[in-house]
Amino acid sequence: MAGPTIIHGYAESLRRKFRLFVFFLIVLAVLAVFSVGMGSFDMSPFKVIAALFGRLEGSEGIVIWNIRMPRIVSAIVAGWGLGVSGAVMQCLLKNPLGSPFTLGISHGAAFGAAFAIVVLGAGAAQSGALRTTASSLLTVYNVYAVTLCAFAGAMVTTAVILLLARMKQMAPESIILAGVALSSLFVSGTILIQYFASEVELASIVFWTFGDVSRSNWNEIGIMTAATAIGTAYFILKQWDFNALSAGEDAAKGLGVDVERVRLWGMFMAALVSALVVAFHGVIAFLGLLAPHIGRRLVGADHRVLIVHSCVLGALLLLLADTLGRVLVGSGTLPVGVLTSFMGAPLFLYLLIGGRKG
Amino acid sequence: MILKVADVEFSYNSHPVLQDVNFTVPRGSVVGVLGVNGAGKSTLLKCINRILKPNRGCVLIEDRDLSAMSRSEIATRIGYVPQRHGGDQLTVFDTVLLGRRPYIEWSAAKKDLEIVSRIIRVMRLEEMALRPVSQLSGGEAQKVVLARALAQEPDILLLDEPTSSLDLKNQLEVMGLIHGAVKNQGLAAIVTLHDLNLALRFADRFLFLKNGTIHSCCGRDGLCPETIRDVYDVDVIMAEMQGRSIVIPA
Repeated sequence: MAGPTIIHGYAESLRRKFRLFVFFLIVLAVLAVFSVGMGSFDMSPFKVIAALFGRLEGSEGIVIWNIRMPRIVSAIVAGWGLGVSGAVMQCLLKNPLGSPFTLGISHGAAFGAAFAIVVLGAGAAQSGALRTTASSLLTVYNVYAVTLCAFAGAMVTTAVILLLARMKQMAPESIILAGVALSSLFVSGTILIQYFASEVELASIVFWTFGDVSRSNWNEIGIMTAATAIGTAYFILKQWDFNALSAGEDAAKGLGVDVERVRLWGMFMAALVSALVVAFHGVIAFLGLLAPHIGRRLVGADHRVLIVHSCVLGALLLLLADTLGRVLVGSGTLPVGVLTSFMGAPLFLYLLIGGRKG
Repeated sequence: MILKVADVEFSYNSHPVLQDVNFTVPRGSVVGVLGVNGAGKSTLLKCINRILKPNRGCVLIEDRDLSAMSRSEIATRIGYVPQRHGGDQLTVFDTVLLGRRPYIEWSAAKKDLEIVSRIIRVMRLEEMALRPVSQLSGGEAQKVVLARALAQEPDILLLDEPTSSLDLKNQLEVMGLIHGAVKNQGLAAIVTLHDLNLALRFADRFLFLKNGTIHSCCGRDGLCPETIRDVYDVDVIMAEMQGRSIVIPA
């Protein structure tokens, strides 16, 4: 291959990967339109598009803008955030199991929520999933206290991990182990709180831990979107550093990367994005793990393309899971966390059987 | 002199690894760093590159102290190939392009792509340019990381055991490429090696480390069996064969 041919071939392979990204964006948009129209109050995609352009009024417009759209946008933003957080954590920790879930961030948030519900008496977060006989018993006293405590739990976990990593100069593998230890600690704490909880509080905690994208209002979606957008922009700015880090710490330093700084800030931003998602939606397991792995299979390990693919695949998977959850269960909705948990187990098996080469 | 290492000392948890290390390297020369395992060879390279910060002493490139330079600036002067390297999921082109990272702000410019393309051709890696490094042989992968270091357009190459896992053919090829780059581009290279005969063939000077200090620093003429016995505790015979010096264990 002559010089220009090498460059041409390389540029074409990059273009192909970005075309795939655009394709996924289009699929996401189409799925979003269909998903808005699906439910107990069925609407055609044309009506949905008309509503999006403000040309649909009455009850259909209200259903779309007040009920369906927040849920769909929530799923897209949350999936986007979890996908990109997982991709960055896996790179910075040099571990294919790096994700908000495996680092204990989700369990920290669950502990925070349980603390707020039982100790602070804050009640339970409202959920579209609570269409069971228990729903009439569950009372929302203070949704924000639950969300704030969940966020605090997630950030405390993050702070402990980052402090340990910085003070003890821990290797990436040790950071994962520290996350496993913290997860175990928070799970034990949550069980202890559940032991002393009343039946209603217990049900509230359990419902909170089912990840569910129907809880957020537009204000909360705004906060989550801002954090996710800032996080994504930061990660895209650092894409070369992430590629250098994948060559090893010493190699990255030799390439001019301030490894400690990139790892600290990268982990902080990834944890912040995922902590917000978990605080607003509960535990959505495995998505942060799954999206980057699928992305790596499709476009390789170059973070210039992997980061954006992890974002769009995360959004696509979560929206798909939520839509399936609404379609599969006739009398209500299946919390999206249940479906993503089901996706996680096959992934682990896939990794064990030999799919790690990607 | 392109590089001056002056009074460098380094300790791991108060255990001294390097002490009183002084030497200079001129342009266009290959320096072989030799010594037993644990003598401090890899640590020396990391101290030169400031991956590890020396407890004492300084490293100067053309009379500029490296401690006053940013990490990115150091990366434009020194290309470093560590002993163990990862990132083999990237393609050959992407890996070599990483060498341009100290120069890239946001996106690789046409000049960066042309430099990478030229180096890939010089290293004869063009047929595998778009393949992941994980699919290459050990020798090819070693050439890729060497190409990455050359893409940094450095003045100095630091190579930590670049031939340790290679067969004889690839050892000769990789060392030949390093030697060629140094002589053709007027660089300097500091290479840690275990194979004395490879060092004799490709290095201009030899830096023997023993217990973290420089035992001796000499050219080919100064190399003698006594030095090797002192450093390695092995008796050797030095002989001439087809115009080349070789070392044979006695």
